[in-house]
Amino acid sequence: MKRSIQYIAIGLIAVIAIVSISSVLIYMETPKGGTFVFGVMYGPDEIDLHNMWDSASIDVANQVCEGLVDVDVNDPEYPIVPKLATSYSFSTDFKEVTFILRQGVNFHDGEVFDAAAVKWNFDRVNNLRNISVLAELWEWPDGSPILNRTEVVDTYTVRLVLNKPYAVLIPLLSSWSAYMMSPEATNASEFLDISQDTLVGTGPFTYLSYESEVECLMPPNRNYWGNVPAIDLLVFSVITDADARNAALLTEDITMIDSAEPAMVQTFDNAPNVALLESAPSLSIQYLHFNHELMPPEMRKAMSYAFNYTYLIDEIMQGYAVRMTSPIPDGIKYYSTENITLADYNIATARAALKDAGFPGTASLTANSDVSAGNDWEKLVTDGTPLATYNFSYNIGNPVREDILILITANFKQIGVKIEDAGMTWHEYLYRGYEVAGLHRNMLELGWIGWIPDYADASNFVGYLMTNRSVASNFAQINDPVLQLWMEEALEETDETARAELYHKIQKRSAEVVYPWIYGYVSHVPRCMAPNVRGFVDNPFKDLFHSVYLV
Amino acid sequence: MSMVKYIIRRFVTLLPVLFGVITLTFILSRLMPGDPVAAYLGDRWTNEEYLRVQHLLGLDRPMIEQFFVYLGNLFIGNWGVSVTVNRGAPVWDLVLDRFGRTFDITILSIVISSVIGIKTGVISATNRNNPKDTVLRGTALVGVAVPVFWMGMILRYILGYLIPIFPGLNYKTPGIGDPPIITHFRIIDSILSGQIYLIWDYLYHLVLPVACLSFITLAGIIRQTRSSMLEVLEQDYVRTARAKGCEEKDVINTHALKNAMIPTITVIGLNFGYLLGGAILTESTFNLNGIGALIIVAIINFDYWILNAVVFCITIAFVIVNLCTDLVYGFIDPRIRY
Repeated sequence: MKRSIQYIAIGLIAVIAIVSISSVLIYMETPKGGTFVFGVMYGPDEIDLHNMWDSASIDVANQVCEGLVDVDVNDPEYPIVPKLATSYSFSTDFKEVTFILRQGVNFHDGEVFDAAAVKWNFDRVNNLRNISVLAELWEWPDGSPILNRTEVVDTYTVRLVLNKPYAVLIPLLSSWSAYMMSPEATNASEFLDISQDTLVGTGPFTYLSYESEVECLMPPNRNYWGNVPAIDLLVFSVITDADARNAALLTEDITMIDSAEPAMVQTFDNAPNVALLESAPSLSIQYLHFNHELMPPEMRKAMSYAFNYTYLIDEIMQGYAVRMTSPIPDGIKYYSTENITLADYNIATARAALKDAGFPGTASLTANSDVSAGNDWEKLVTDGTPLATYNFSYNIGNPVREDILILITANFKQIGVKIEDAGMTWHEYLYRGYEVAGLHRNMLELGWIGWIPDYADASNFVGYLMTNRSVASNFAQINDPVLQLWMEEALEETDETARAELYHKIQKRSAEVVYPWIYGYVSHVPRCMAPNVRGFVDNPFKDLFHSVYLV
Repeated sequence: MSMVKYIIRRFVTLLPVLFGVITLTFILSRLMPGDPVAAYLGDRWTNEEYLRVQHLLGLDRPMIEQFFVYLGNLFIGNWGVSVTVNRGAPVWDLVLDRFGRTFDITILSIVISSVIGIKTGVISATNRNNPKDTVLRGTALVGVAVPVFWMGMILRYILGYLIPIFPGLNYKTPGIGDPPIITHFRIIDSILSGQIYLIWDYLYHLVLPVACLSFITLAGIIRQTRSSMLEVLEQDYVRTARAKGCEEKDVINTHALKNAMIPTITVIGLNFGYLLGGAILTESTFNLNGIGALIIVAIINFDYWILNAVVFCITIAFVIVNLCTDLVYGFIDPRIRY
């Protein structure tokens, strides 16, 4: 009897202990409200979806607005799936696409989301296209509009009519430029003014305010058609100074940092109040662009072989990057390296390229791989008779790019090329690249830049970065008629196999003939955040916070 | 001359100073390499847009015409709109908003450093060359020698991270909100709107930056007070005061300190004016977004309107602080006449 009581007592104590521990554990992991502070370098420049270009503005748009389709970031294949639409179908000639819209969705101002709202938005895209910085997104290379018109079929069915088949339409519709804004709250003929207007979408967060250079406040949309965010307030806190931003995470003034510098990752890893989340390689390609107007292909080839890629990845990026192997990053459809020879670090090959091309001053030199101090090739630079002198442009204050300047100065000296520092502000760099304010691309001889895609399609990389049809983002002034022809064919080609073949040819010709840039890296720096953050889905497309909660 | 006349005269002399500063700033800002129209439009735009914005900003007019239009607008309170910081927002509002924050930090730092600095300077002088004096002089030397941004980072690291008792960044808790803008001074606006918790939050966030600036300005005040006190303590009237049996604390506080204060007040006034101009590095270290941070953004982005307005405000602030300093002289030493 006594023993039975002992067993019962022990059993009870065990049950109570298990229940207590489970309760504590459950409580610890229970989603709690609270403020989620995302530390960012810049605040938004624009709040109008149809005129925003900078990533800070797009980050805000991604929380507040949604499109008819979207990338499914929870699927490792990242397919584009219906969002505010429930389905869509193309006509047989691919000139029309009909969307069935989700019902029961309202804009933040209470207005109903329906076919008329969709038509209003796409009409606005077309009407303001000529004065928008996004014109290129909605135009063919010849400047003609992609959209012909939008038709309301019934309250929840809408049809987009194209001028001709556009193979990239669905990826384009997943970009912020095709998100929906409330027709009631948005001026149809003028862009929203960030100092006084409000962005009204259908997304999981609402746009409350933006205090310039301080913070953007976004409370959850309590009437959201999907799962309402668990956090009480999303704040984008602007901390321009990189050191201050890093310190803010360590001192718990912010919950998560937008992007950590590779050099800080170890510090964050050692800090007890910071958690790291492994990150998949991003879709942002980083590369050194040449100036094709000024540099012959042999020089571009020589530089491509003289660049120490291993040092870039292992030392400058501290291993938090992989080498960029194509203008189209791995993860984007039609990425290919099959049967493509990439330039690798090989000084002898680099020197041979220059010598074989008969560069003046190379006749007496040997195309060897001697990189010891004072070698004959290096002497060309140190003695003041380099084969060529190029300036290297980059945005000052970017530690990675400052390290790259040091790297290429040393690397290119080994092929007799002298590099001059042409660091400048980010805007000055872009003004040269986009040829505004009286500046020109020829002022950029070499430069380091990255490209974050507007949407997930191969055309958004090569089509913008290598086209000769418009100012676009072709800072390197690549002008290869063969590439141009294939790129334009690929835009119209709706057959998957044929499109894949075109992009394979583009990638092969780029790497082996054109040498458009020195392929740099694609980073995968871990995401750094407070240890009580749960539900953040890292993906290479966009930072989304609607699934995030704090414990 | 009565004090009122003196003040009026000082304000009248302010006008040519202001005109000179406005003219110089206008010319210098136009000489800056860069294009505010391009900054306004962002990174990508068409020539038509460029011409439209150029006209909108009045930059298509002759320079001399631009200057007089600007001058006229300035005195009727139209300071233009920002082309980069919160694009399209009135410059007047931006400057006032930032100035209020900088003023708060300045006034707190100056009050704290003055109280501690004067007291410490007196202790140092009355304990000349003994260990106490050596320690205090050493501390003052550190204050002079240490770069302000380094001090800020150390304070942030120790008191914000290792012993996390103060926030290391920003002037408010993210997302806590703001009082309705009435005076542009956060404390006053919080009181007027009855949101007292915002004051505590604000002051809590200002602890480290104020400590940083106080420490830096403290050094000069200690050194000046000490050297003035040492000089005054050698004077005959101090000896007389002691001879007639005054208590030592009265000798120090009443006879010596008052007479030693004039140079110290000058140092405090100069520091006050300097800090009102924006403690650029401290604001950057603590992400405070005051006048200093605004100047940096304006320069980087060729924002003429903000730059001119900020310089205009700083000039006025400097002149007023100098005037106040001169007036304080009269209160401290009644022999000074205006």
